[in-house]
Amino acid sequence: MARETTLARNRKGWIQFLAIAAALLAISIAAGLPAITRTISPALLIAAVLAAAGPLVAVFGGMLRDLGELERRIVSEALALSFIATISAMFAYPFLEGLGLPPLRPQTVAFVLVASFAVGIERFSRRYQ
Amino acid sequence: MTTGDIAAETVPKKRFEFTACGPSGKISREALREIALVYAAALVFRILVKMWSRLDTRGEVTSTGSLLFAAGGALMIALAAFLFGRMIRRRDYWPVFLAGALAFAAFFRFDKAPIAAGTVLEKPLILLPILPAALATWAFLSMIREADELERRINYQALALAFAVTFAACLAYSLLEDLGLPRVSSFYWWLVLAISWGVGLTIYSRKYR
Repeated sequence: MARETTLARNRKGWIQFLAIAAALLAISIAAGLPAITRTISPALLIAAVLAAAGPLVAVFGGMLRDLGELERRIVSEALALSFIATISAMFAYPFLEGLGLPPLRPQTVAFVLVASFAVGIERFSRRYQ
Repeated sequence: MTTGDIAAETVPKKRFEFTACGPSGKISREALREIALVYAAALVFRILVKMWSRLDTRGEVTSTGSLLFAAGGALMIALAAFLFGRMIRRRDYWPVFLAGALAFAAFFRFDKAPIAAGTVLEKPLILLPILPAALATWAFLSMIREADELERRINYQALALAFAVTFAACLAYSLLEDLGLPRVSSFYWWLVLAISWGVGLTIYSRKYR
């Protein structure tokens, strides 16, 4: 099956990636709690997030480096789709803001990136089946 | 006149090589001039609209004045369209991308008030910058389709970097927002994505030099 790409089978990489992403999410949620913001300094919270975001990028890059030629092509095309979808949405949305819509939350931007990437993986892996 | 002289006249001389996008990403002197003119046309159009809307809200504009402003605006749009058309006919996608992005940036309001706030043109002018943005997106897709294997590889590595950096920046900023930083316009997320892609292109094209 085309969906069983090296990227999908890279179990260790995914576990590392998801563990770091979960840590980042937990810090983000915890940082919103008044009890945390009162006791921990904002500088420390920011340092914790940046410390988690760096390895997230490194693990994702490492997973991409380990891919075979076909898997790399599928991921590459999915990345191009994700880039175009997100950049078009971010191009257009400021004008909708001008018409009265509220600014997007950063989590929504991250969701658009990941969702369009996932759609791309699904679509392009079917093409090479 | 020798054959070499004729060739030098007909083929636009390259002003500099844009190595970040591989060998096809060069900008000729002619394209550079067209990009500058498109940007200038967008700026002049914006200034004309702003002047007209100020006069209009104060009730100081006459019908002749409105017609003159409309003619000036139409002239600027026609000039930009003509220049885009020339670049597209030459299949010079990189300058089309740059000119589209610059024209969009010329329209983008960093202040909160739209350029023709309170006038009949407010809503149409909010949507007008989508046109150069759409042209830039189309040019980007065309560049990817026409790229050779090495350029494609450089571009995709740059895209991976842009993806990871923007994703991490979004998560980090969501925390900073909880800590009291203001919610920013999505235009800044567009900038993060575009700048990290540009940095990626520069890094990875140097790697394959």
